[in-house]
Amino acid sequence: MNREINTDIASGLIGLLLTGLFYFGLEDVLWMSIIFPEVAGAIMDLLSIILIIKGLVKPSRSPVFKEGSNLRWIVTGVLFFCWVMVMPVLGFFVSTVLFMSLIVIYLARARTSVTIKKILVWVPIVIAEVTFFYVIFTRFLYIPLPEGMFF
Amino acid sequence: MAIIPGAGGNIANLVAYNEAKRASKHPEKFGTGLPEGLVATESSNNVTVAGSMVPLLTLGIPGAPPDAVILGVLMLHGLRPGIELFTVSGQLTYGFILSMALSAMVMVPVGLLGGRLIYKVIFKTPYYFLVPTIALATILGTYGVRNSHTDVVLMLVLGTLGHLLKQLGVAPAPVVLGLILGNIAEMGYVQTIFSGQASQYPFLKLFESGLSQILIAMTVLSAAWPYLLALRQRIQARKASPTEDRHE
Repeated sequence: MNREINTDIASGLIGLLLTGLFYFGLEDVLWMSIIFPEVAGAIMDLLSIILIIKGLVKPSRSPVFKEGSNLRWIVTGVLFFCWVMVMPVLGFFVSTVLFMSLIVIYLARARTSVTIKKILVWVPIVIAEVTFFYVIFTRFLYIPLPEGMFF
Repeated sequence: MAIIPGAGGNIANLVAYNEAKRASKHPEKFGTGLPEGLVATESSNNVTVAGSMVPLLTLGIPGAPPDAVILGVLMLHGLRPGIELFTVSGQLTYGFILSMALSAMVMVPVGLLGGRLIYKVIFKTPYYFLVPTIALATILGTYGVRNSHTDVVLMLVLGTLGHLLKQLGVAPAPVVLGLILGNIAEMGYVQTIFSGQASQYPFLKLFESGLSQILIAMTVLSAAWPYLLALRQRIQARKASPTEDRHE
């Protein structure tokens, strides 16, 4: 599928949308603290408008999302979000082993055939890797990682 | 870059990457694992360690998070950055500086021997293991700074936004620079505006100092430079085209 859009207009609109969101967030901020965000927002607005005008005056279309599979990107992204969201519930160790294994299995499907035998090799590797990081952080660096219903 | 108080250590590798990209014959290949980009960022990353000690030990201003940790340890042991650190506690400080020189020398054999091995291991690791491992490292790194789960969620949201913007041609490096330099810019701007409250137009205070005038001129010039170059090329092309017409 050929995905070509006017990236100048798209970037300008995203810039305006972001500054709009920031302006809403500034409603309850004191006047002394608001000085810099207002200026930064105004500069971002100005640059976004310049980009939109450039996109309208000299329209050019560029290919976007042309590399790799978009579906794979979205599914992996959703798995990352789920991983982080369940971390306080299941705890760092359990959630990381679970979701890292799921991501490895999902991504491996694009390159190789996934069999039970392979999964039985991959999962212990993931457990060893997560255990290594877990021990380093909790025992040596004394950084407590999120705990959940198990530990 | 590293000796700039407050930001040097953080921005040096980004600046090095950008300069390597500008000087490269294949700038379009940057971001795909090109050795030039990796060498630029990693070598500048090592170089800044020693450089960032200058503002840390003399002024007590950390340039990067590891420097802040060192500052904390110094304070914990009753050592205050400044002249006293080099006079009263000179023996300790110079020993510390020499140990950094020693570590820089040790980096050579470690890099030469370990570099190839690490490269081979990473190169042979299937990408479906690398992706979640990198994600794990970013999650741990983000969580470790403040022990905050919200920071991790924020990192994922901003990472997604960064990916979308990259697809639209917005380079992530300047955004990261803005994030790092934002605090310094905010402090400087607010201080200037407050000190100019007595006048009718406080923002004019920004243009009063000779140094700020030079910096503003350099900023405007660097922003306009690509357009000036394009204009010059267009003028040269226009001058050359009538001659070609005559020959035809």
